[in-house]
Amino acid sequence: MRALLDEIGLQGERLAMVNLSAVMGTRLAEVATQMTEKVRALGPNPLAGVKAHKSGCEADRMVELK
Amino acid sequence: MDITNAEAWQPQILAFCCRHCAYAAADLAGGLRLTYPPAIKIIEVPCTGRVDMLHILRSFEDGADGVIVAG
Amino acid sequence: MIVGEQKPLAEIKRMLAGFSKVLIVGCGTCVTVCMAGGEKEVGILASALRMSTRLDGAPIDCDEEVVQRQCEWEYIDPLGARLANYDAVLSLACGIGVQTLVQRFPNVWVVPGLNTTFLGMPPEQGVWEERCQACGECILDQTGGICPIARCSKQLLNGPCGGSQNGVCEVNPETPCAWQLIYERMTAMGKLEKLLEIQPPKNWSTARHGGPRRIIREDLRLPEDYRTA
Repeated sequence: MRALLDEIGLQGERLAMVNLSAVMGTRLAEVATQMTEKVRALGPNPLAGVKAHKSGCEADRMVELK
Repeated sequence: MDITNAEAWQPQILAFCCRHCAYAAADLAGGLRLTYPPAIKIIEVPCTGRVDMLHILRSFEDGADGVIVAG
Repeated sequence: MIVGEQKPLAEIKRMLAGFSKVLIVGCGTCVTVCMAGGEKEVGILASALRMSTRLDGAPIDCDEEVVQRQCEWEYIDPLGARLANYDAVLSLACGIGVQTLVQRFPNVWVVPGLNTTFLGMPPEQGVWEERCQACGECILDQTGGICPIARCSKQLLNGPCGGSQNGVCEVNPETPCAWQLIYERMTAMGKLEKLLEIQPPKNWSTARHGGPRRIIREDLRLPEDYRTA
């Protein structure tokens, strides 16, 4: 999955997969903080500010209709 | 959906959380009064096995800066 | 089933360079079950292409469609009305699906998103292996149901060869020797003596060597006046 993100041109590190149990509240807060820092360092999603085609895709238009 | 904001950029991170593990852990974090960054937006799923490549791709396509899959 | 594999994203982007509206058409039959060109793969590829081409500064609108079987007129005909809205079609079917679209819609530019690889099956999840070469004259009765045409690297009819070592093929150690498999199965079934029969050279004219093949079933054919395609 990360390889596909890299191939697309999005940095694969923007995706994290973690294993937690229900009692790991502290760990979740840690993961959330680390990931926020990592993404902050990577900067905004490279797609932000890059215009899509005017008409967009059908999947998007369907979302707008709802 | 546009969850990016060019001015005063703050990361927006989607977290797909399993109802029974990570979502419960997030509940617990709340119960313990732990703070974690507001950048994290949690989406509860019945099981992270439900999370598909397409969910992750569409998250990025719609502007997420990061995605966490936690289960 | 027909087994296919998706082409690399970079190659697909090269084929679609210069187009701005593309319909990705998947197929609900073989390539869905080998997870190369079904509804899910169409969705993933469409999203990946939209993002990737946006980042390249030449965005392509990718819409998604899946037909149950891209190799039959009945299933692809309903696409006709839609196709005028697109600059090109990216087919995620096998090579047969691509050509069926081309033959039905001669004015539409259709490119393949898959490499059609072989006729085979998945011996385990995530692994596909070749089982048939469609040679046109089945000999599985002589070889205990294991095909030396598709599974022996040298297509031997009277194997094994000297390159069969410890049950694997000298051409690729990942390939079990088909003739070893045949020998073992014939032994287990008590039919080993059948292998003593010398097989004469195969008539390859029924395979690709005789040129493109065609089957005509007069019992199924419509009367001449009713034929459409």
